[in-house]
Amino acid sequence: MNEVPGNEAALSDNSINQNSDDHATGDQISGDQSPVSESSANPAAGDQSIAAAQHPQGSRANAGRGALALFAAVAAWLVPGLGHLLLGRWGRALVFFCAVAGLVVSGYLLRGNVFPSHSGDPFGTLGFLADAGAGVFYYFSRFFEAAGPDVSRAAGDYGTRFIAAAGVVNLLAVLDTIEISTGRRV
Amino acid sequence: MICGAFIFLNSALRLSHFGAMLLFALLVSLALACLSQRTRAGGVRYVLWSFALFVLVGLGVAWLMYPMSR
Repeated sequence: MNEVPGNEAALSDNSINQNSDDHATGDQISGDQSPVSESSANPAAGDQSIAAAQHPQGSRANAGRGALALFAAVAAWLVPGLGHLLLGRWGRALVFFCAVAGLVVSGYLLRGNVFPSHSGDPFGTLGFLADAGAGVFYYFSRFFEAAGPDVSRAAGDYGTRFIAAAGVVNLLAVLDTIEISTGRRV
Repeated sequence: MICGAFIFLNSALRLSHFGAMLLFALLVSLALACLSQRTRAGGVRYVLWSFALFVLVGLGVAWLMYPMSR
């Protein structure tokens, strides 16, 4: 479920560490450009040239990190667990996929209600947003629920909650993917 | 094959109310543990604790609603 840090993917961690190192370097160098250091006797023109050289690298690293976060987030939404898999967190990816798939498929088998996108009332829209959080599983509803929902029984009502909970769990996993890919979380 | 698996699952999944609650508690506890804990030991403790709370609170609410069922 949770990997030992040493087993995590080298690619993403290295990029994150490298980016944080770049940040640290950039911060130190830009700190030399503060008014306090400018007012000193020797403003260290060499440091300013280094800062000018380092700044594009830092912005490129930030842009790359943002692109990775966006890509991982979209992948995590489309297929539950895929975002974590791309970031090398295969254990979490497996758990998220099993949890979301288990909730969604159980909800479909219980014949829960799947909210359409063109619902008229606000509760229907909220239900659609929750259901659509399950990504590609949302579009499997026609396949799994060939007979349609049946909320006249308690099981069907449970199924509705199962499907909505699966979408919300997957949206939380998407946020977790974004935090990991931006380096805010290990 | 997928259709066959679906038909088998559809016939096999006859969940009682309590069974549905247990399944929901287990799956959601697993996901929440992954989100909130970063170590394996912490995750296992969180799953057990969250699952127990789900079940206990569910049973408590069920007993509170029992008089209304009559």
